[in-house]
Amino acid sequence: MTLETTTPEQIFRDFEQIPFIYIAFLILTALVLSSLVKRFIPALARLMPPRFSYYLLPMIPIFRLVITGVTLLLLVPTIVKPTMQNFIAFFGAVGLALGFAFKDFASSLIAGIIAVYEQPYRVGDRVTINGIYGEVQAINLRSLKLVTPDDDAVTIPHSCIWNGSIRNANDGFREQQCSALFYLHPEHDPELVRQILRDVALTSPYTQFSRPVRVVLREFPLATQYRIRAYPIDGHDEFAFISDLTERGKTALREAGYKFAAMRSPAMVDPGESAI
Amino acid sequence: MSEENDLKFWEFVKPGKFELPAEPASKRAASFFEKLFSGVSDDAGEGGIEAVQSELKNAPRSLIDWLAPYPCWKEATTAIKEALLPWLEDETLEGYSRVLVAPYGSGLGEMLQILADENKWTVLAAPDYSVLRTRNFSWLDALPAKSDKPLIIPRLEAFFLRHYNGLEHLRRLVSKLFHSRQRCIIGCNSWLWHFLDSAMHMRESFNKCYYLQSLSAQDLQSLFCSLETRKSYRPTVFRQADNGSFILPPEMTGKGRLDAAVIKADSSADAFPSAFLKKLAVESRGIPLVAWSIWRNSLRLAPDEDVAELAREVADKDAATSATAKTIWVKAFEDVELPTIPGDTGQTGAFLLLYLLQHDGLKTDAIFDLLSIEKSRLIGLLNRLHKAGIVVNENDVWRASWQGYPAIRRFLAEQDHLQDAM
Repeated sequence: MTLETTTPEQIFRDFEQIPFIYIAFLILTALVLSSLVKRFIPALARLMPPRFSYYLLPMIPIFRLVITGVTLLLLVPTIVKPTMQNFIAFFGAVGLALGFAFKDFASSLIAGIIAVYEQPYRVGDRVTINGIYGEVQAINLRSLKLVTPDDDAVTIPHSCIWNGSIRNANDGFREQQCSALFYLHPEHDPELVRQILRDVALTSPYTQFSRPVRVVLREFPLATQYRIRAYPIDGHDEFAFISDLTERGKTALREAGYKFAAMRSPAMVDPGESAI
Repeated sequence: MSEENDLKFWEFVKPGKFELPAEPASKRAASFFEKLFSGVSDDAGEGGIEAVQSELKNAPRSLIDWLAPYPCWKEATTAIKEALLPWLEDETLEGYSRVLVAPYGSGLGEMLQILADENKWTVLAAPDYSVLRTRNFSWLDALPAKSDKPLIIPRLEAFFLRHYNGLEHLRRLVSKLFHSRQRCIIGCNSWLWHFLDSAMHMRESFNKCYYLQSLSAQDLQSLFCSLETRKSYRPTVFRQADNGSFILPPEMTGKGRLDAAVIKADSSADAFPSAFLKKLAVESRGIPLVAWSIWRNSLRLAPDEDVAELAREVADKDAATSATAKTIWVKAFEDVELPTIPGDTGQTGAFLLLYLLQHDGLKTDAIFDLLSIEKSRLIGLLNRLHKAGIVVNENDVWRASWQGYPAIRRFLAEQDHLQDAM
């Protein structure tokens, strides 16, 4: 039995046969389309009522992935001779090269494709990845871009989904539960405090009334912790909402004559607080 | 149609029976095709009217006040009494309170005030703003003693403050009324009612509530005719400026009304209510003052008319001897310029407008106090909205303009803010 070897001449088209103008046109069209999608969809989302942005923005990476895929499908036959054997050989070689030389890149790329379909995060979601909290601003093929509350842009490769955990605060929805914490001196009437704090939440202009407003309390040795749990109409207002609840809650409690806890023990620090 | 029947457009209904005015689907389709083929239809015969339309001028304020004076709510009180009569006469009361809900710009507070004045029923005075924002509830101790006559709260908005101390005042008021077993009639703006229901489940605290039924195009026709005839002194006809068709039936407008025989064929009964009024009913959601305000805005005069002379005629009723009908031109509904929300209004603007609707207007200091937003931003916003005609300032009280209400409602819906059900 003799083994047939495949030479590059058998896989690739002759140099004269490669339509360079067509290839340039394809790449250019893909870039333009991709750029248009990147600009047009956010612009459309801005024009429409805010709730639509949660449906429109996650479409961006899907469209861009489709554009890239279609471009590659059109591009490969212009360079490779269109036989099944050649395609297998070409993609096998590319796969091997990526596997060795661009292992991490390939890993992120594949994770990116999976992330588009599995959706552990979408554009507009507020997520915590590797301890970094922020809003997903863009999902590219290799990475996603987060913007933190301090306005820092953080780029995280999609490969984070393989091993790390991803905490998604709103999971594609517009609303997101927010908490405001208050620590009072233990000697007081908790029923009245809960009522006051509930009214603080009910009178906030940000509050979404289709979701519940709750005030829960927890006893600590040095203080009683009160937590207002409520949803803003738009999750983007998370920090404005928490600030509004905290500011007005403190004023209301002070006006009603309640004393705040003099000190907080380390046990009182909620693990969730660090994320906010 | 008798005059008595003309005024039967006020009606209070149970929430399930409330309906918004709507154009029938067939009419909508017809207007779509009319629009589609408007370019190819032969309008040659109306060329003269188009020429007039482009030159029409605003009617003077005095004439508008004459043609469309502020509605008189006296007739509406009859509707309230009708709705509440079985309960008012019932010795064994089924519940001690009744809530009447009406959208912003319905004149509900005035209706209830007139009802109370007519029947010498006690009106509960609202506490001052400075009291409502504290936890001082002593004003509730001064509530009138229990009486057989109903206690009237014309505007529950006056007892409400969207402030962390404000809600407790309302809770205590409701509780006090419940314990006193005092018969009570409460008027509430639909925006506030929806807020109270969502935030405090207020509906459950009251036995029954009634909604003011929205005015249909037919109702608006009756309303505008009744307003016009209140002060009219000579035959008047209202014609649409772009095609000359009658907006109100000419036989129902003006004193010394025109003989039906001399009215053109296009005033036949089936042409009424006119397309203008149907569109107005839909746009205004059948809210009396919103529709009235847009109606006043659409009235125009022909260019050759001497405004000063007309104003003099209005003041001098001797002119009533005039035999010829006065023509008032009405802009086509599409040409009526209504206020629009400025593009940069944003979320802060939505908060402000929502608060103004829920409180039925707020003083400048109260706005600063209730909305924890920088004063400079609020001042800029108020100025922009005022300039756009969306809000008005009367005696230092800011409120949503009636003409701007349809735009405000749409804007708040787009922003996903709590909506009223009306």
